[in-house]
Amino acid sequence: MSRCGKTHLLERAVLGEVPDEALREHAAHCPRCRHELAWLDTEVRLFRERAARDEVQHLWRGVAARTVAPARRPGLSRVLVGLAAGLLVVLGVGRVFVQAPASSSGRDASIMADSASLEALMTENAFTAADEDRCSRPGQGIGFHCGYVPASLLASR
Amino acid sequence: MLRLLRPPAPITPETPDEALVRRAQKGEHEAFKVLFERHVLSVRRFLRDLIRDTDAADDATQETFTRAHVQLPRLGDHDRFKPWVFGIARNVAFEVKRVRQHEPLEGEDDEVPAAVIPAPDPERLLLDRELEGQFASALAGLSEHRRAVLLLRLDHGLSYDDIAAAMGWTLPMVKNEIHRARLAMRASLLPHLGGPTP
Repeated sequence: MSRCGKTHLLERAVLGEVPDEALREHAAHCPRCRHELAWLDTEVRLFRERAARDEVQHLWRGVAARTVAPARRPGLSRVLVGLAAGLLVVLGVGRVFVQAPASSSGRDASIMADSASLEALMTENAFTAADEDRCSRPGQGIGFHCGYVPASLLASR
Repeated sequence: MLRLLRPPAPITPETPDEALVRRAQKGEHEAFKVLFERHVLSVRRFLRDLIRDTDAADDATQETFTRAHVQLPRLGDHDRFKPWVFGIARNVAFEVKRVRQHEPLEGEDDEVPAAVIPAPDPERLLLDRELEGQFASALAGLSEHRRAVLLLRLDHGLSYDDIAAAMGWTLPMVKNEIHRARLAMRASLLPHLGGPTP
C-alpha cells in the first residue's frame, strides 16, 4: 500500500470516480504510489475483463415469473379521466331525464296560456246579433269586410 | 391538471435509477425490468463470486431480484437502489451458504501477508485461461465477507459508505477488510504477475 496517504485517492482515480491525470503524474515520481497504482490498474482490469464475459439474458424469465406483473394500478391521471368521463355521462343522462319533463310542462303551460287568451279573445269578440247584422250587409269590394274574425278561424290557428 | 393527465415519460438509458425506483414503486413493471437489466450482471457476478457455483448463483440472483421486487415499496432512498440490492444479494448468498454448508463462512485468508508485495509486471498481464483461473482462485481464497467487500468496491464500484450500508458494517471495518482482502489477493496473484520489488 502507498505510504504517502494517497491510496484511497488512487483507488478512486482508477475506478473513474475522480480525475486521474494529476495523481498519475504524482505516481510517476513517487515509487510507492507507482507501485500501488500498478496493482490497482491490474486488479481493476482483471475485474473488468471478467465482467465482460458475463451472460445473463436467461435470468429475467425466472424473475418475471416470480414477480407477476401486478394489475396496473391506475395513475392519478387515469383516475381523473375516468371520473371526468363518469361525471359527463351522469350529467348527460340526468339532463335527459330531468329536463325533458320540465320542458313538456313548460310547453303545456304555454299552450294553456294561449288557450286562455284565445278564450278571452273569443269572449271579448263574441259574435252578437248586431255583429251578425253588420256582417250580413253586402260587402264593398272583394273579401270579408266585417272586421270580425270568426272563432272557428281563431281556433284553427 | 394537464400535468396529471400527461402520459409518463418514456424510459431511456439516461433515466436515472431514482426515477425508475419511483415508477416501479407505483407498479410500473417495465421500470423494474430496466432496473433488473441494469444491475443483474453485477449482482449475478457478485453472487457467483460469493457462492462459487454458477447454477446456485443464478438461482440466488433470481431470488435477490424477487425479494427486491417485494421489498421495493419500502425503499425510501430512491437513489440508493444499487447498494440496497447488493445488500439483499449479500443476505441471499449467506443464506445459501448456510443451507448448503459446503464451506465455512469464514475463509482461509486469515494470515494476511505482512511483507511488501512487489508490483505486478504489466508484460505478464495477458489475460489467458491460466491467469483467469488464478484470479478466480485468488478471489475464492478470500473469506466470504472479505471477498464480498473487495468485490463491492473494485468490481461493482460501490463507495465505502454504500458498502458499509450493504454489509451492515462500520466504515473503519469496511476499510480494514478491503485492505486485508487486497493484500491477500495480491499475494495470490504475485506468482503470475509479480515484477520487481519497489
